[in-house]
Amino acid sequence: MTLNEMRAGQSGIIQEVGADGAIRQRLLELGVLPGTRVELRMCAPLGDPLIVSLRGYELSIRRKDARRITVRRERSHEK
Amino acid sequence: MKNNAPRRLALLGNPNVGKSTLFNALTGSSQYVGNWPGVTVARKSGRTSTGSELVDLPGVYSLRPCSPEEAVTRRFLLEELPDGIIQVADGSNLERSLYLTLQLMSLGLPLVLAVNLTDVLKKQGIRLDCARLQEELGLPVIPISARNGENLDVLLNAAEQAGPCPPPPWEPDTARTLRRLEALLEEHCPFPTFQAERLLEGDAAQQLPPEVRCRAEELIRAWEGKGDRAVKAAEGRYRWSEAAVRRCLSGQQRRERPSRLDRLLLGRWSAFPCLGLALLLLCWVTFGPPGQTLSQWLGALLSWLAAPLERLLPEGWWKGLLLEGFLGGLEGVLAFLPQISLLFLCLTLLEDSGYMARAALLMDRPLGLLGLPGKAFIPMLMGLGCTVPAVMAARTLEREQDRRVVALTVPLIPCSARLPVCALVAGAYFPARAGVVIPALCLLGVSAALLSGALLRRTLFRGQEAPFVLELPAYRLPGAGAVLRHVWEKCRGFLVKAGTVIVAMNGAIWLCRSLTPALRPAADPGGSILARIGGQLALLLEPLGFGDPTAAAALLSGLAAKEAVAGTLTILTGGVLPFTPAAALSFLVFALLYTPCVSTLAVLRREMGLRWALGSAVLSTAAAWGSAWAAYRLALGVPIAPRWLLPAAALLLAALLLKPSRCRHCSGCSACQGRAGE
Repeated sequence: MTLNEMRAGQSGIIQEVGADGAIRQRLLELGVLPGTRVELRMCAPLGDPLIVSLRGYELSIRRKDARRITVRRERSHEK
Repeated sequence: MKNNAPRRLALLGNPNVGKSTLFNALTGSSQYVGNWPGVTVARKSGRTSTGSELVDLPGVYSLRPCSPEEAVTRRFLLEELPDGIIQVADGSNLERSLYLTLQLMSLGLPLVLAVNLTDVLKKQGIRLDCARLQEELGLPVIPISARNGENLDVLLNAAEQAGPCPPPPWEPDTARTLRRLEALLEEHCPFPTFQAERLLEGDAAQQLPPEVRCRAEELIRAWEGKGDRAVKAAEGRYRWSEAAVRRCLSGQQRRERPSRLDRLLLGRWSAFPCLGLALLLLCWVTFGPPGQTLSQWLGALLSWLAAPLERLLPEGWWKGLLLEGFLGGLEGVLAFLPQISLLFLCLTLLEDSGYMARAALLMDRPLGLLGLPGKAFIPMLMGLGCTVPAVMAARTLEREQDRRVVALTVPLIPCSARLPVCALVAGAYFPARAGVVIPALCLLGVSAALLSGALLRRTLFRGQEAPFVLELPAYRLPGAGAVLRHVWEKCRGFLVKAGTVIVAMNGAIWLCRSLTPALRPAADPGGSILARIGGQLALLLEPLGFGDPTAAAALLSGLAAKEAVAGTLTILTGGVLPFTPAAALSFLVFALLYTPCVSTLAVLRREMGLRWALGSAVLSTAAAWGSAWAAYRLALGVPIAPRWLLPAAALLLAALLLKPSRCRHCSGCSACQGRAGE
């Protein structure tokens, strides 16, 4: 599944980062890398952008870019 | 090379790690911040207690810049070769800071890592083993707390004594490839390790001879295997950082804190009301009772101070120059100091608390309709304060077209300097409705900016949709000291301007008013230099209803600084304004929108070139003329155009706005990239 398909509160492990050019570069620098655990925190009021948390901080990206990031769902053991 | 001689140190780090707080703490009161609008670029420097020069650079995530602001940092490091680097790291987000550290190490310059927010870590029960981290990195690691001023002298001492740093710790196969690349690049560039890493990541910035390029490509292909070079390089750095953090941090870490504040401020139903409320509050504090009251008090104080001068000075023409020209104009401007400081106070609070980033996030969708990224909201909001920093803030946008659109439209947003003339004219003509007229005018300016932004994005600046990747900083209670310091810096800028440009302008205008072209005292105001110039310009303003030499002269003086318009108008008319109510409205609209002041034009020229600065002046004056003409006609009840023309114009506008702002068939084709970079 892709990052934008997750629901708020769900988490997963990134499999692939497929955005283009500058956005991809920026995501990699920020630590959005295969193998990293991400949690979808919430969506902005108009449904876009998304707020995800990873490596202990929060990042906001557009739904369109999130669609290019593949994740594997993690069994949520928190709730 | 261990000596204590004064050095030139660069201060850098990720955005939002407390760099500026550390800068202020280290340079104390002896800094010479040339940061008032239009004087310096995006970096500040100051002197430490030990005599070293400290340069505060824009925050970056890596040494591969995504925006011109970030490029400032890389250019400084590579071209100006500081004697040492202090990297500020966020203790609560060490992994990402270490990613930058590993990149900085490739430069080989003396490097010290300052781990900030150690007090916060301690409170969370987390222990950081700095000695161990120091050992693993091979460079000094100093735990500090910039806000409480802990350990700062140790940090400075370490930075002044640091020797060249060791090469970054890569995994064996990567290190091997890098060594080969370095050998290849050695004779072609000054920082072979740094450039080798750039190549490895697929950053093609460096100019190389084709055969070297080919050989390097072969090496990288062999290293990259089936993977992707950018991912592999980033993974290598992050793997190392993760492992280092795991070894050096102990205690309960990475507490998943559900942010209740975010649920309110970004919640589905509450987010926009909260944003609206914040903006309303900002306007109320600045333009409403608090600001007005303070303004009146200061005005009263100033006239009380000026009163003795009036009695004491002997009669003579220079008494007129001093009192009416210099003092009168200065008073008119200084009375707005409270409102301007309140506005900057609000903006600083919004920024320091971490809400500004959330506002940008909220506005991403609405501004997306115009074709702009959410981050464009920040320069637009700053535009309410002063256009000059707002134009400079446009640098934080990643794409050239967005920067240009924002830089061109921000001058239409009514800046605080246009407030005096609005307050003066609206107060004189619409006293009962000044509270409605001024916000309505502001709204007019903002919508003019948004509309022209949308139009520009669809005509001259088409291209890819703007990217949006934004770190959300944790909410923080702004420190009183830092906020006051920031507000003071802005106010000082205003005071310097008021004390120099505006006073000189007022004096010159007074002289122009009292002298004839033959430099004799003018017997009647009609024969003065100003009346002559104004008379010529007034012809152009005749259709707008205020074809009056004084009005034209006042507008002309606004070119130097918008604050001067009100002062000039007062000096020239002696307080009795020459407009009819309809003309007053038209004058207000014109004064709000016409050409940006010289400082703004200078910044625009620096950011975009002379052509665009002039274009901005011409466009905004044309927009002002058209709007004022329409407003005047409407106020008089005269139709502004044949009846069929209005729907036609509306249709044309709608058609333009419905056009998409990016090319239809791509999400980043090379054609767009090429245009974006031109």
